[in-house]
Amino acid sequence: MTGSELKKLLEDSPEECHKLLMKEYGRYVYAIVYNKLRCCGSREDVEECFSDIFAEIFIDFEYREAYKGDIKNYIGTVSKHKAIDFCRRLNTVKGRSVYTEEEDIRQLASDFNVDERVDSSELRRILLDKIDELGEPDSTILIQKFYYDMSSNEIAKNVSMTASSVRSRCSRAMEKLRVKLAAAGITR
Amino acid sequence: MEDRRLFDILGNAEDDSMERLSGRCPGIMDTQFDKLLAMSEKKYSVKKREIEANRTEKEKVSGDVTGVELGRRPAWITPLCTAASIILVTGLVIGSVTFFRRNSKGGGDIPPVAAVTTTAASTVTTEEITAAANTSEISTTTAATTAEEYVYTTKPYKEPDEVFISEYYGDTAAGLFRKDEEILGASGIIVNGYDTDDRLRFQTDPALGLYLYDIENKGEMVKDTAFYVHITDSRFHSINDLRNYLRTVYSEDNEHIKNFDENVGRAGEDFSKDSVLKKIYRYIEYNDKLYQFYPGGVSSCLPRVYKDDEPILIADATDNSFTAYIHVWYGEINENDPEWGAYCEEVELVLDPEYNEWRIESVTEREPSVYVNLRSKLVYDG
Repeated sequence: MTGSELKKLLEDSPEECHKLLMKEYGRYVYAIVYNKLRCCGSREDVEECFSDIFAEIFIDFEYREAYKGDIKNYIGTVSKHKAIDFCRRLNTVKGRSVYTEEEDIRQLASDFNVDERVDSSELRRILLDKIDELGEPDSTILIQKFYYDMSSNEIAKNVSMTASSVRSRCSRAMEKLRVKLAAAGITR
Repeated sequence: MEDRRLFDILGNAEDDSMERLSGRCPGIMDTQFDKLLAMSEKKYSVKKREIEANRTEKEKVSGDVTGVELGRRPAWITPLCTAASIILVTGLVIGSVTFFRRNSKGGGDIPPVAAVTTTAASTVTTEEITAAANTSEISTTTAATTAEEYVYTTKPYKEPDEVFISEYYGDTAAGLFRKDEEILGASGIIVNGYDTDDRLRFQTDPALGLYLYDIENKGEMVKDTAFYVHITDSRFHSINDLRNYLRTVYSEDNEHIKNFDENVGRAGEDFSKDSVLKKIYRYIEYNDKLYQFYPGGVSSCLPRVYKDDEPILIADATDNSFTAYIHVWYGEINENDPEWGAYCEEVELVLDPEYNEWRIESVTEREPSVYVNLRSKLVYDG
């Protein structure tokens, strides 16, 4: 949907415009928020932050003509900044919990032997590449299981399989992933 | 666990990785969508009302408009407003952080997941859980407060007349302040182990609004239910053990000690296994075992970081009390952003008559500028 179409819809029915925005970009925003808060917040926190972001987007659309330009880029930027702020706020409230790349690396290094030269973004890329190589639905199952922390029942609905199939595919896929990571120099 | 930890590296992803992850983000279910939309609309309405109110106010201030002059918006106004907004937001954030940190001292880490062990205690536990869950009897526990509701006084800052450096006082303060970090997290004592299989389940008063991870049904949330897990740390077998442990660092008048009893419950005295909890105890004693409230989730704490060239400043020293000012960063020292994450901790210490040792009476967070100003007043090295 283009900016001018959204503007028209906003004028006709702000509620419909809001709904459409959330339908179109909700998943994207959720993914960003989840990415920033998954280690420091609960599901409720993710939802709070998500709704904060959309409230701001609605305001920006109405008062700051945010429908002009690259909407996805704008929404991505707002989401990222808001989620980081939210995470910081949460951390201070919950006892300075933090989610830093350095900490990730240290934690990861404690479980897996990681080449010291590999930085976190490179590691991320390798991991995602190797997960992609597993093909569907295994890659989605692994990401939803271990990254999005979903239950097998929930994943089963998303990939149209039974929960037991999800579980067995998941463990087999994880084994395959370990082999691939080992081949890439990341071993347990 | 290790598998999940491997995926932790995907957190904080940069844009290209983010795109790949969002492609596999589960869609938002219809019911969740409606809830999220309603939450967003509510917040939007509040913001909109504020904006409209501000506009009306401005119109009132400017009075009647008798004519309209068309004019161009000056080019410099956008960067100026942006800068002003950043300053305002920064101030708000720092203010909020200071406020929340002061209130977060009651502390308690959500226990580290690494400490989770599984034992064969589940048979006994099941009976306890069933008994607890199948009742609707309301307990006689009074005050409907939660364990998080520590009461803190906001001490106004009174600048000391002079400060000095002292190895004795500095080391004493540093040692206890380090111990304060070691033993307390955001909402309780950091324990070395607990057993989620050996747990108790209680219904809680809906007025508490509890909505937490369901330990028995992973990935789900559960309302009005509190889980307690058995503390397996060999140092702690009773509530008294916990209190004695805290007393190795805090004085009798310290808020952690003063509020301690509010956060602990003893079966038979404060609740029964059939109770619907009216308040959330941080720790409970039940059948001669010690349990802690288990809200779920994983959390770690930002470590305190100090700069080598910033000594602890001492003020108001007497034979049995003194105040230490410690410049602290949480997480990391960021010279480029000195306001973010930096604090001046004002630590009051007293010589505890019970132990004849120093203890922390209070910790109050001050703006980092407090330390900077005091350091400029440094009179001599003691």
